Amino acid sequence: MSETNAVLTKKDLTRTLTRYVLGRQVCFNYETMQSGGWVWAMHPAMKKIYGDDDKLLSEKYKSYFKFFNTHPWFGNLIMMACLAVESTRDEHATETAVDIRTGLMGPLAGLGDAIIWILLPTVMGAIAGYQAMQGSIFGWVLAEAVGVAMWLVFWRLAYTVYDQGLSFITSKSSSLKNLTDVCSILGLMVVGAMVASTVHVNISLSWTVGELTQSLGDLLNMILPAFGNVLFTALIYWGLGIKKMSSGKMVWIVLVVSILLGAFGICS
Amino acid sequence: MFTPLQIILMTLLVAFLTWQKYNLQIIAYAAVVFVGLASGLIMGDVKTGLLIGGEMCLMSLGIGGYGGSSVPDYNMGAAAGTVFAIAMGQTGTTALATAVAIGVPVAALGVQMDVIGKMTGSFFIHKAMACSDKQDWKGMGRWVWLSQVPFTLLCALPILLLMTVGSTYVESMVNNFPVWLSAGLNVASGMLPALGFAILLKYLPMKKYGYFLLFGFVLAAYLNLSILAVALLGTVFCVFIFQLKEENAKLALAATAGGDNEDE
Repeated sequence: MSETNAVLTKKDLTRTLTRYVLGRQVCFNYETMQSGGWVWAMHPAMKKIYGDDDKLLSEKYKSYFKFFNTHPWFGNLIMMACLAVESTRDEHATETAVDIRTGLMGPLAGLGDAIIWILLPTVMGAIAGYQAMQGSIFGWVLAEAVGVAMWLVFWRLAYTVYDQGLSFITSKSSSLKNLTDVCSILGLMVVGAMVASTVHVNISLSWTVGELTQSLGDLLNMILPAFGNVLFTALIYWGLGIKKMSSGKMVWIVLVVSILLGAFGICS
Repeated sequence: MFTPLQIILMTLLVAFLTWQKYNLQIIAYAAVVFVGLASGLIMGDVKTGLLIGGEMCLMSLGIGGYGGSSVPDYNMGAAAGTVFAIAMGQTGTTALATAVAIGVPVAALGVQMDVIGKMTGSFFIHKAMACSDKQDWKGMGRWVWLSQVPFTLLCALPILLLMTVGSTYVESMVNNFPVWLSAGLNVASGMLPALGFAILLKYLPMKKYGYFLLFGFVLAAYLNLSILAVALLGTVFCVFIFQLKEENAKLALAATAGGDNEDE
């Protein structure tokens, strides 16, 4: 698709990307999700490709206004893949581009969630949170630096995707699956560690037999360290599987239950 | 209790964060610490802001709006918790208890605000589509962007109401915390991170790779390694596993190619 390069210049691509990052999820709604910001972002580039044929654009946008939802940073790349197809000005360009958009949005959202929204923010958030509680801003600076670096990687990659067209994404697709897998593994390891260190639930029940006071929490911790943490994380995980349960409801349940547990001296 | 300038700045901060959280996303990681820091700056006590931001950040770990779902908004929570703790002159553990008592309900309220905000989007998307059909590009852009007015206002509404009409109620409530409630809030701040991890586990491949949880747990609970140490060690393992998987894929590809040749 190297002949497409001539249609949109680097400046046009920068303009499209700027519009996209400013408005990629404006007008979010439950019918079409991210499509509103998408059409607004692509408009100047489409106008350049198809000239001032407003009627044609209006037809094409009918397709682009349809349902679209993906990881916003990977959206940069999907946008560029679609513009690369549109740049051919082929009769069926829009049909192909929208098919590509729909085909890519699911897998790329999965990968994006695993790395960009789960793995990195969990590790970085833990470091930043602990450091902040000790009065240091350094952890947050580190987290922000990592975030900006990743953000810039996706900005830069977008130009490459336009230049190389779809082949860039498809050539990497087998590796993408393996990458999602190992990032999930790393995520699981980090969560396992954080259940031990970031959650703090101590069971403070105790009883006295003659001279000896026995603490249930100490007893349980001898069997398994951080026993309270493991128990309550498992309970909440199980609770989230109940029908009609949502994270919003669960916050209230955890809040009320933990206040009761603290009030009655069962936990501390 | 609050100066008009503080109220305006905090409302604008939360409105701005609502837009940036979904669109620009340049403050993506540990954003809750940033919210605590910025709120602390506005309220004149950066140290307490940082402390509350850190606590709320730990509670928010693992909570993310995957696939357009609405989840508790700890940005809103940290903002609300910080302004009241600082306005009441609290520091240290008292400030943390106040922040949990106010911040967590506000964060949970964020779910409703987010859902209503996204529902209003339907009205604007249809207006934008209608403009597009009429080739009115200016109108299309206008309607797409106007959707941000109700959305950001809805999300900034809790902090605005709390800091204006709600402030005296909140103040007297916090001043009259019974001992048992303080003890309970302390437990809540330790248990809420577990919710984030539980949500996260729902999105991770538990059935296929769940046993890796044990690995991380042992490293932290028995060997007392820090999170960064676990993450670095985990990276070594995962790069190795990735290389193995890639090599296997190559071998499998070569094997099928070889098989084809034999057929010919």
